[in-house]
Amino acid sequence: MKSGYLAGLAAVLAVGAQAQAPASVTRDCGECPEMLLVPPGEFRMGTRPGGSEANRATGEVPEVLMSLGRPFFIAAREITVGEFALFVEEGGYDPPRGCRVLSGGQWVEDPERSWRDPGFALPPGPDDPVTCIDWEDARAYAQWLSARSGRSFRLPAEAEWEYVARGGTDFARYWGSADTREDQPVTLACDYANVLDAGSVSLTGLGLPNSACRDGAAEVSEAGRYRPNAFGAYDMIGNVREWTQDCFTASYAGRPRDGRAWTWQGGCSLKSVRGGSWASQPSQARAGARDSEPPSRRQSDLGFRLARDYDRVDAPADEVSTEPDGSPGAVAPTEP
Amino acid sequence: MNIARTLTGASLALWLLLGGSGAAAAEEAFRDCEICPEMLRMPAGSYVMGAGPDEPAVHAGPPESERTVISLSRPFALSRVEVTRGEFARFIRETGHEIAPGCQLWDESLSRYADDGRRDWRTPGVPADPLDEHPVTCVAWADAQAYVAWLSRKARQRYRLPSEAEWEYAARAGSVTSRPWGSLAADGCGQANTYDLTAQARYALGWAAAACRDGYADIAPVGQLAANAFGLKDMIGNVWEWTEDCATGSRIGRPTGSEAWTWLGGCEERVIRGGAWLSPPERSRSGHHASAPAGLRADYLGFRVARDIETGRSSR
Repeated sequence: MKSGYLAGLAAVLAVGAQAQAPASVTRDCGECPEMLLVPPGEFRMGTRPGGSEANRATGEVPEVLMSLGRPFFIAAREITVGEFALFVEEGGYDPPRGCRVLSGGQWVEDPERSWRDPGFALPPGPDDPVTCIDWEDARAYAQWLSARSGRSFRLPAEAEWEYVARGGTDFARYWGSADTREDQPVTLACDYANVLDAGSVSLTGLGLPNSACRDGAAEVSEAGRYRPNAFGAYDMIGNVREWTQDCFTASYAGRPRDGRAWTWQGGCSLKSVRGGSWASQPSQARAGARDSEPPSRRQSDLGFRLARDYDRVDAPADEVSTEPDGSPGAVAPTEP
Repeated sequence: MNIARTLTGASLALWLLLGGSGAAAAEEAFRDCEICPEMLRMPAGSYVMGAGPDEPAVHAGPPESERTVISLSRPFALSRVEVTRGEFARFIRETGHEIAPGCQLWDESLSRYADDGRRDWRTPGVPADPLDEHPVTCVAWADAQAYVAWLSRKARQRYRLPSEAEWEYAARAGSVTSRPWGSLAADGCGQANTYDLTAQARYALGWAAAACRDGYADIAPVGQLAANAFGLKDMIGNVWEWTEDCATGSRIGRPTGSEAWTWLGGCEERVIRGGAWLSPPERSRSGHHASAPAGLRADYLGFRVARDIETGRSSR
């Protein structure tokens, strides 16, 4: 019987119904990132056609009702330089040099820059999010961490990402609907996110005059420095853009609606990238905003966070069924 | 932001310079078995998928405006004509494949397409007296899949639906204009059975007609009109044709080879191509992209079959 599993699920669903209480936090190994247990639920992915925030060109339409049938885990914070350094040290993997950095208001390829030295005014600290990481680098990190922890870490699906970023809200941003237009000053953003604020504008030379508040960071800031959203996730908007599992195309029509990643054979030339960064103007710093990059892109405002499935091993020990369960929607048992 | 995978002027110029698709002359048709459809070998090549330079701005929206270079690295085979009612009847006889009654057809009293629960592929709304040589219609995507699975067993070859990339390549047959015969719908009545003056005289459908006469008021028996440069008939017009691809609203990031663009967990809609006898000039174009719910059975919608060609040995 699967009653034990469902009982565990019911507890998670109760949290989801409130969508206010921070999810419980798990750490799968000493060096593993803090993971939030995210309840299953429904949400509207995308932005409403005709609304002021919709960007048709990046495929935020049509709005699709997504139904995520299972709980999952997502990292509370973006993966940091310190976490990535341990992988490089112990995993024997080191991304080559070469990274796009902001220079004189333009993104330019710099063959000398790398995740160790992304060309910021100050070298990145161990708690800053790692940048200059391409999609394969992020995947390699997830594989290494999976081997180390016995859990299956992966990049979040784009739908999972947006579900978490919205945190139960349907606003443009998880703190409200303000701060979405280039011609109006941003106001609340600096309490919640490291975006293109007044300090960033003066340092980077990006000519965007309406960043009225100060978030205290011109470039990246320590992961988790600002206020989290209702799911307990930090920096879903701002700090660094984040890789997702999904291939990118500029429409939601016909996409999977069950929370799985949208991928296809035969040439995933672009990956979906979400959340905006320290260099993002208001229109890009939204829960629904979409961006894309070739999988080989390394850039100093682009990093990642991890997700993983909720498995039987995550259910409370006395509730785990020992019988195999082949019913639809059941979570497959994981390897020991 | 980097979504500009669509075609730039520079890469279009390069493609034209390189000669575009090597539009080869039509080859002789072949059959894998006595009752198998006539197949034509489509050469490897490349082309630009989407609305061409001669297409009016009215067609400029995605996905057709997202012009994409497609490269087919190996030849494949495509049936010369649409699958016929006679061929489909043999499949039904031999397999017992069951199709529930119900087909969408034109309701003259309502002046729109509506489901008729009594009709099926044997008794479509048009033509009034269907022959074995008419293309089969009122078949869902899954029915077409069942047909190609049966045909594959018969022929011991891998038959399948064409991908959208293959379909448009074959329809263009080397042409870069909006239609295989040129830019004007009115020049097409020798090659395509679309909504023309003949059809308009019989069916007042309320939309534009091609200003010429193709001689058929509705669906024609397959292969009555002239072939395109690859030897294919009725790619434009007669009946809409299912393809293998899932449908979405953009082409950005799509595969650029011959493979179908498909994914798991969605795909309620499949791409249909070519237009039918009732399609206005706007839809009777090589690049015109449309989609239909995979379960739709309609008396304007059929299919043709493709199959892989093994390279490295004699390809026939």
